[in-house]
Amino acid sequence: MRYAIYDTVAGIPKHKPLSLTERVDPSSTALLVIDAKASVTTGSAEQDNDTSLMPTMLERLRTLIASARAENILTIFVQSAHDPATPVIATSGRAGTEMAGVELVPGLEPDGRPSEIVVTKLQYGAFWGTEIDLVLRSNGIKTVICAGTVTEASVNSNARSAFFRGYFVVTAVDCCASFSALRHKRALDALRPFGVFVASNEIIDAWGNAPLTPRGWESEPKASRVLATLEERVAVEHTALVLINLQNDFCSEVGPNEHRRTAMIRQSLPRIASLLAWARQAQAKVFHVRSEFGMQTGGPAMQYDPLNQVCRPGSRGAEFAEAIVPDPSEIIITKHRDSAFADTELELLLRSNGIRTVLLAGMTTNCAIESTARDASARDFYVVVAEDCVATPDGDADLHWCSLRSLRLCCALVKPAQTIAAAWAIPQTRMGQ
Amino acid sequence: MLNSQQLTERVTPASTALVVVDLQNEFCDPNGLCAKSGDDISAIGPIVKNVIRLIEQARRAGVFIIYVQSSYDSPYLSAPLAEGRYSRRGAAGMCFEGSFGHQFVPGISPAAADNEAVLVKHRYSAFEGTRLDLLLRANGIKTLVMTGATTEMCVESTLRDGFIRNYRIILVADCVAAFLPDRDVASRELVARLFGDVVSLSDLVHAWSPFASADRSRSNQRLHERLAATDTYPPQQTALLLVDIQNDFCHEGGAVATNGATINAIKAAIPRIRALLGWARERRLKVIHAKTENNHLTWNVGAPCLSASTSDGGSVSCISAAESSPRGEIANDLGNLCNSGTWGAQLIDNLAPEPEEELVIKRRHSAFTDTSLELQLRTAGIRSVIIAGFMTHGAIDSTVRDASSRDFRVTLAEDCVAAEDRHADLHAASLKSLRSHFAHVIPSSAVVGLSHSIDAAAR
Repeated sequence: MRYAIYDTVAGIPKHKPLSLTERVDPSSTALLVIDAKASVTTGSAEQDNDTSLMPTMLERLRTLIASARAENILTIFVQSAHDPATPVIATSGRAGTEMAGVELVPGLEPDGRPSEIVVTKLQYGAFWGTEIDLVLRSNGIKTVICAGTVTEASVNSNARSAFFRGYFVVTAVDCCASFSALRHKRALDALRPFGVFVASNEIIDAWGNAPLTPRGWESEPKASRVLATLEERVAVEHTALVLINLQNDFCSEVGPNEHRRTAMIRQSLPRIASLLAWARQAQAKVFHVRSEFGMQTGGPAMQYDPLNQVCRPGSRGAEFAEAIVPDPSEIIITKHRDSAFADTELELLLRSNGIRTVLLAGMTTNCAIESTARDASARDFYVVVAEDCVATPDGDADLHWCSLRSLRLCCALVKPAQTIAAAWAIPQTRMGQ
Repeated sequence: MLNSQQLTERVTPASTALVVVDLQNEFCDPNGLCAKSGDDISAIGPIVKNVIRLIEQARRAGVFIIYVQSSYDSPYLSAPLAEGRYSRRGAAGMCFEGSFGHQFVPGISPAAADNEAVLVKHRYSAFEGTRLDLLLRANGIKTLVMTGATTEMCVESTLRDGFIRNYRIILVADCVAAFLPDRDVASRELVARLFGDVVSLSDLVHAWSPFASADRSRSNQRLHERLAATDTYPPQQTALLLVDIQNDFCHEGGAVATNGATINAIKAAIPRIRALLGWARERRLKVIHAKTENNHLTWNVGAPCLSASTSDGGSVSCISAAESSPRGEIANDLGNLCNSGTWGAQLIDNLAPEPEEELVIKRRHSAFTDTSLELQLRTAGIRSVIIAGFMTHGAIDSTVRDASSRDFRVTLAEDCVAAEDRHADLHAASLKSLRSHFAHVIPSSAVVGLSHSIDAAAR
């Protein structure tokens, strides 16, 4: 099978069903309490809302939160911004019932304990424009439990987004409600493909039966998750070699480089080919990222301007350089901005396959390599730059060296290809010491 | 309900995209996986004919058309997605690249034109991990006309994500369908209530008919016009973004200086930043203060810290840059910079935000990483950002690159950014890289001088 190495993560088939106990494991589960605000009990002046579902739901939610507290489970209170004139909502012209009034239900607000945090959203969905994903990924969270109001709006949007980002989603089905039984039922029907529904008492029971383990947000497990050495970081099961811009326009002496001295680029190409061969031998995952700057995708910055004639779609300059031929099992990603993360599927691929370290090689050091390295560390991947496998035209050699120094300071290990390959050769048994 | 004039304005071809979701054999053909695993596809066929008619009208009017194509090969599957798919269909993958199921149904034939694009997606939402937002930005799109299948799954997931990114949503009732008719109805009613407007095929055909003879090359010119216009943004489209002007970075008693760095260049920049801020306030630009603040729940591999184990122990770094040393030692670096609630994390004196100015708390080097910054800028209609603050080769460099890749026009006030004195060369190299690729790098006196042209543009 072409993509067989992608069927499993850490040896486990991706489609393996989880038991409830595994799914809501307290060490890697977060509870999202969404818009549990006082106004849900009174409804809104704007519409004849039916609030009859709310009291029972709030009672169950209170019990679930109490249990999460007893179990020391990370709990995120997702609330809407207070300002009713928030421009996002003004723009949309649809403030809707649930945006009005944000005071939390008494007893359902965070009480300052270290396992709780408030995230303020400006919209139904909190997975764009807030730090909710950063909090989840920073605390070893694999499962998100969704609870709160209202089922068809914020609960539904956030359950969908969490699911798309790769979290297992559990909807605490009796801890959500809407302003009518029909809306609630329809919202649950629509939510069914996005994770599973579990009643709060079953979640609480599963927590009670779980062995007592440190929680992912606590400092000890956080410290133990740190990959300290180069060997640990580039272990093949969680490392992706990301090759960038190995296209004629960046690597050959025709096109934009025609009148430039390119000794550094030429010397780097055989080393990149070796690194790729070693990565294949070690069975690391390999992603080839290519640039395309065309009419459809132009932007205000100069290098995205299609008139620049660099990597025009369909051109010879946009083709992969001869020295580097992607294998059919390797993934090709097309980017239209400098960083390989900008508006591409790269992060989705890395997260879907348990990748923790991004190993970078390609062109050019101070542009796409540095932008991608910065973006990777911002997304909490370890970054290793293969220092002799990145280059600039010779005239920018000073920028190449300064860029590597900045990366060393701000976000990456910078190591020669042979050192990285040596790290791949060490026996598995010595990893993690 | 929209009247026909409102609809015509909302779907004006120059700023509207027709989005056709997942009209692939896998979902629509009797031999596709959905029909074979028991889904009732009978409602899909009739709407395909309507979508084809709408595409023809969109082409005549020069509307941008995006054909969304699902592809669920195993590299792109997350465990939760694979698990759910497997339990329902007995197969984790579908729409395999190159397969019959992956192909569009007959009649859905993207043209090789600058205003048509095929967008491959790997989640139900076409915004998740794709270039959709980039395509919309690059082509000046403000309104999404949503069609395809299935209504409550991929169409609704996509339009929910479009809505939170401030796109106007138009759902075409007779151009969407689901396997279960009641789900289709419920989704359409929900969209009408919360996310946008629900119209019919004939409403749109009518709205686009005045444009039916549009010269299609017009759309190619749009990009050039937009690019040419980027030098003169009026004040209401310009923001000043101040980054990391906090005690830990700029004060002799802060973490950077007490770790042994001299910070004369940083201190020298502060009066100039203050003057720039004064100018921005006078001109009533939108002002945003971004500051780093971390706590035990936000620390992770990329969180800024002072790492003893990098090549330069007193500099701002993160765990990802920490050289091989014991795990505990590296983990100790977390939390030694700009901790929530500390004096070091506070903005320096005399640079506090005014009540109407925005404060963005960031957890990583870039002010865009997992913050509300982009949402706030887009919502306020900002297209041009002036940036100042610290450190040039650290947070500033990351923030400028992110702003540029999100298609904001960036101006960097070069005498209002700085780094530790020992990194004067990195400061200079960073400015050189940013100048040649990402930003207009000019002295603050020139930024202030720009206000003349800004004012002229406003008149």
